[in-house]
Amino acid sequence: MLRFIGRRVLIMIPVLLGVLTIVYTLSCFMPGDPVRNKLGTNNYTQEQYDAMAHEMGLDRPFLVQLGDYLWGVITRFDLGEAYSTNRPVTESLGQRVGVSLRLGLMSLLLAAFLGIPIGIFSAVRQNTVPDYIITTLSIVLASLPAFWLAMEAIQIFASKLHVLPASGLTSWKHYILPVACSAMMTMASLVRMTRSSMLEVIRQDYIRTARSKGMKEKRVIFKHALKNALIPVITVVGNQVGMVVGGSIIVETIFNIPGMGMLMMGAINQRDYPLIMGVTLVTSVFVCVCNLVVDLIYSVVDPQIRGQFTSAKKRGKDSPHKKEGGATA
Amino acid sequence: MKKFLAMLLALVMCLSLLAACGGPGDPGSSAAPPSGSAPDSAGSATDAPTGNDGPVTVTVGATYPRFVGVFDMCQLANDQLALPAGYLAFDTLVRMEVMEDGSSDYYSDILEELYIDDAQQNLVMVLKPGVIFSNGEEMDGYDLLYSLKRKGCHPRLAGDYAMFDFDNAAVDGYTTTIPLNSYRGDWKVKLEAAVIMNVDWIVEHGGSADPANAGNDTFDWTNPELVCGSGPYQVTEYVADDHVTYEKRADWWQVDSAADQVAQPDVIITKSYADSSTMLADYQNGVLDVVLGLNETQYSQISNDPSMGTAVASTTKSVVWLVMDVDNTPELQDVELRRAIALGTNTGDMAVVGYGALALTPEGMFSTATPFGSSGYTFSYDPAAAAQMVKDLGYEGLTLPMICDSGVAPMAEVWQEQMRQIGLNVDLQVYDVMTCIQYWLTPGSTAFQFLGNDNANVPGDPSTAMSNMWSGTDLAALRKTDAEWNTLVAEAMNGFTTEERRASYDKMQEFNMENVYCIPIVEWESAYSFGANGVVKDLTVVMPESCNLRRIIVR
Repeated sequence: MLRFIGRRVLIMIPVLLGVLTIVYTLSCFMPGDPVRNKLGTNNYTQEQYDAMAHEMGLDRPFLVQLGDYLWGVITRFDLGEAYSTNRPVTESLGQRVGVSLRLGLMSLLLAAFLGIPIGIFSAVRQNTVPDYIITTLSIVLASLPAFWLAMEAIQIFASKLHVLPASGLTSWKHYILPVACSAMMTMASLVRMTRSSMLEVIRQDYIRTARSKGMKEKRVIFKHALKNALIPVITVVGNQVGMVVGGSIIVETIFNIPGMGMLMMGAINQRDYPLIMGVTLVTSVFVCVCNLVVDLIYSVVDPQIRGQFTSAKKRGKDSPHKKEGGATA
Repeated sequence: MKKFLAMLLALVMCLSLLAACGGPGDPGSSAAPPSGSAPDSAGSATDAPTGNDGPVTVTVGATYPRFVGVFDMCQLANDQLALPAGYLAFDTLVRMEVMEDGSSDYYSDILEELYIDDAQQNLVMVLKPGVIFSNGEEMDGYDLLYSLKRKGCHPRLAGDYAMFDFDNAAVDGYTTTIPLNSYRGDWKVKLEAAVIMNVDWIVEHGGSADPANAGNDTFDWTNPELVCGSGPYQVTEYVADDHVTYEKRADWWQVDSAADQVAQPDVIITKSYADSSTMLADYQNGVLDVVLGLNETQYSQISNDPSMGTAVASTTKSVVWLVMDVDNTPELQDVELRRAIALGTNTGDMAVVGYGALALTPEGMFSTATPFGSSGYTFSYDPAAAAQMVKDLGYEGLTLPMICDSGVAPMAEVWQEQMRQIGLNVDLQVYDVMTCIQYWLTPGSTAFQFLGNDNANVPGDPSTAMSNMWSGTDLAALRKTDAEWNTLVAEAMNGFTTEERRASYDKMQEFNMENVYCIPIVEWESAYSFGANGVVKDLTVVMPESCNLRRIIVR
């Protein structure tokens, strides 16, 4: 297990470097000039432009810029200074990453706590009226654009009914609308994923066997079916957790929440390469770590997967064939 | 059991992470919390003043500009200033003010005199005695000089401030004299946003006395506790990208002017919003007392609903032009084609789509609400005649490119259809502003574009807009190399008196009527609102970036 974790951590390094390289390359080659953005569109000479470009390090060849940046990240965790504020990128990230994490994890927990049980219920009650209602609603929710949902929520609950605030995160009431809007789409996909996964599992022979043995339905579903059905759901949830730190641009913008999504949006609009790279790096690290955690959780849930982590030596010691004196099957 | 414990452990870690995470409510670099109320849950308005019931708090919301958490007012670009932030805590050299007769002009709170001598050799500033910073020190000429130099070190403004020879400036008591390297007629516009900082305070706290070195010193420009201005308020709290709180100084040097209804609120909180509809929702909920930067739909909504307070169109007006790339588009070098395009442009329809209730009919390139605008310089609309002209000239079916940003895309689409009706095809591409600018730098990339005439300031000086539409601009799509046009631009920008400059701008308009370099499309005004929850009685905002947020009159 430790070897597996170590291997995965080592693999993360080239993955992150690859992500940074791709994003840096795309950023540098997209239209827009951060030097000109800093100087405005007029009232400067070519000398001033060159001086600013030199100050920002943008007068060097692209590969030199990229290499310098990656070297700084690896050796000093130096993410540079934001062009727009001249402040360290880590400062901006530090102020905002907690906000996005809080919001994202809350919405994910809400989506999971509601979506999974509803999906189970829908699968167990397949082809009934409740199942049809749940399926339709989940398709509708999955189809609705997030910005529309958020704006309608503000219109109804904030502007018309005055029961919830429209912006900010200063009290528990402020969390309700953004968390709910973020959770809706995730919940819709979890409902559908759980439902289809459960349907596949409850048709298996061992489920039929369990029922024929007289086991209570609740025990059949929760003890036997659910564990197997949850594996693809864990994958979906795990991927969502990884994306959480990147924030939701739409929800954060509409609810005026200063998180990573808004930071990234502003950075892209202003061609603030250091900020773009900083947000990308933090998001990528989080995604990689979450993928690793998801794989470890698999081993908890699924004994077959756990067995892959067991060393060959241990597998040999525990082999039933060895216990029988080495006789082969 | 083991699995249950593992799941439980995972859940506990999640909750710990949530609890440990920072964010709004955990101040970035904030000082003591304000004594007034801060915006919180919905439905609870900010404390309404009821005589002696406690501090009067006014919360102002704006979608623009954004505040980047740096209190170095001299080093922030126009789109980075929380201008209430700057102008509540600091004094500017000059600011725009609406006079009693409704006219508007530059005014200074801190100067007795401000002028350029008749020989156009020197800028002279005479400071009022007794202008006191929040740390008790009196402002002097060295503070003026430092602040102007610091402004001139800003990468965007270096060109504007190149006219001043700071190295040979002299300070004599309250008089500061700065020689000029060159003269510009719009010099007051350039000084408008010069915020005066206390150089002794900055040096005392690790800053450099040389503004050019300020980026390399140890003064913490993000610390609100180090903000030391001469304005009526002081910063008491800053929450990153959420709000800034100001409390009124008891020792403000202009406190006698309270009779002028300046600095009435005890606490002012400024909040910036990424989305204007969210800002409006907070306004309806009573979280905000004043909202700036309303769009036309919101302005109409508030105007039609008395419960939403008073909606006001601001004094400043701006004219949007449709500019033709005469230099790089061969077909547009035919003046008859340009005249046909002007004849086929229905500016009224475009104005309604673009600015709705905030749209006014332009009377020329420059707003007549400014000293430089004259009426009678608009083109007539006759699509049938325009179509015939296009046909006779042999341009029927001609396709020309147009690149614009998403903000003006609705107007562009309307205009595209108008051109189609007269036989011209406009290949319209819409991008974000940064991408658009990149294209506009390339000659021939776009035959047309909209230019917001940057005369949205009280004296309405079109110099900023004109600096984009002459031979010296690097925006190739706007550049005009015609010698006569450039002569007129130079005369207008650098005239010494308002009368001289107005006469030059009139000549430019006559030239444009003949040569159709641009078509005035719409004159528009920004809007703001107050009073929905009864806290604010009156407010005059000349433009969002105005010191008049000091003149919030509460009930």
